[in-house]
Amino acid sequence: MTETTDSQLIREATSIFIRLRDHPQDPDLLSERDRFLAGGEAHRKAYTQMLAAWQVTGQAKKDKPSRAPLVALAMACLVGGFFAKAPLEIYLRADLTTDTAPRITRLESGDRATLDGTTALIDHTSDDIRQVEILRGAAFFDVRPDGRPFVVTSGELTVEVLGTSFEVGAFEDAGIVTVAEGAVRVTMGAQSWQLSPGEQLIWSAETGVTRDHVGIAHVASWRDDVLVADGLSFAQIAEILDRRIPGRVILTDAALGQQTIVGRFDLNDAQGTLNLLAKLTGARVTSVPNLAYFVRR
Amino acid sequence: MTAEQTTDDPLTCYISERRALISLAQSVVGSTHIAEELVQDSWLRWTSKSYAKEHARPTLMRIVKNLAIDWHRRRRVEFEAIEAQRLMQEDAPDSERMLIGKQRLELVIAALQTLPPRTLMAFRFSRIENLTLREIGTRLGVSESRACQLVADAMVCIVAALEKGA
Repeated sequence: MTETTDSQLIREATSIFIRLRDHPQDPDLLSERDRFLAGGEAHRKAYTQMLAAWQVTGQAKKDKPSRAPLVALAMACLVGGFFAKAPLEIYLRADLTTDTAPRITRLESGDRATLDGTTALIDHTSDDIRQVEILRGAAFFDVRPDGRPFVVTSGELTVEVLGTSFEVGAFEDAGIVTVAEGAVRVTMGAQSWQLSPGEQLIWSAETGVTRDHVGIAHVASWRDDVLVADGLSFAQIAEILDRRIPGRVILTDAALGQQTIVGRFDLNDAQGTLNLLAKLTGARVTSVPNLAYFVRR
Repeated sequence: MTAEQTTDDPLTCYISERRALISLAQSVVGSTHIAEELVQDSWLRWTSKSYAKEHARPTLMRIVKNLAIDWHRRRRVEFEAIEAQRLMQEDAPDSERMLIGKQRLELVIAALQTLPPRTLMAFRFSRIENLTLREIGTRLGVSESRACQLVADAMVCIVAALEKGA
């Protein structure tokens, strides 16, 4: 088989795949794909190669213009890999990344940071300022005074540390900042808020900003492999679990995603926790190991 | 009660704007049936949260749009994950099963750098920014089918690079 024929098959496979991706239920496209795959071994191989390349290039969920932010501070952080564990773009930009296991590390400035699984940071620290950008995931920072300000940014949110330790996390359309010790100032656009120990600020695209009190012991509880959910939605918890599970966690039921969950869960066994939550809410989990976990009712 | 206040009553607004809400949802999801369900959901969402009553129309519009985008995105993720199962079913060589690795990423990045700018943009819009072919066409000022060709060109290049490195 010539190079040209191979390329032509890849081209056809891609064309079918990306049009189907826009219209996954289009019967004409589905039968076009099935006819293509029935075309023989070379066709199937081309489709598989195309899919593998699509996987490698990762799917970065990212920057729709409307999208927001992140936050965090002393306590908890979330961000989510609803779509992709390892978006190419994030890998390309990040200075520090984790796989599905959390890790304690030192920043450029010498400050200690604990990163949750599937987290990516850029360290912009210079002689004048200590600055970290969270691309995804959650991080807990333990900051020593050294004369330079310490600033964490995520999306539109900026968290400036006035005290010592805090956590920042980002969800797909929301951010959470929680303070364990000291104080921080959170800025988003023209607005700003100062948070003290035990205070938590939650931003979401839908409901705006809310402030709340949480127990200090619960700040960034993921560091101890525990998830303390107090009013988080199933969708937000799914994002947290997704960080610890190889493969994507996908909720296919919007109403289920909005359901509020209260409880204390084990992150050591994130898959077990996902199954448990599904059971509690009358949902079921269909898994394709290491690739995807579908949660539906 | 003045006419203006009547318009602002959320339920009245929901009922009178129902057609507009459905057609908004439909423009995203492409199905009237699904659009009607999403509009139904939007009312549930409205009643479950305390939105400002005076902004009922724009808020409902936003809720419907978000629900529709969300729906579409989930179908898309689901589709991709289901298609990805083929990788496990096919008797593919190990190199194709090892989906992500640093070396492979490097090969891909090197390959992407050889692409003409428009092809690269089309690929980026599709893969990284998750735009639909229609949206890519609009951004690049080309037809949907031309946008599809550009993305396919990029994939041919990436597959070739991965094969060479395998």
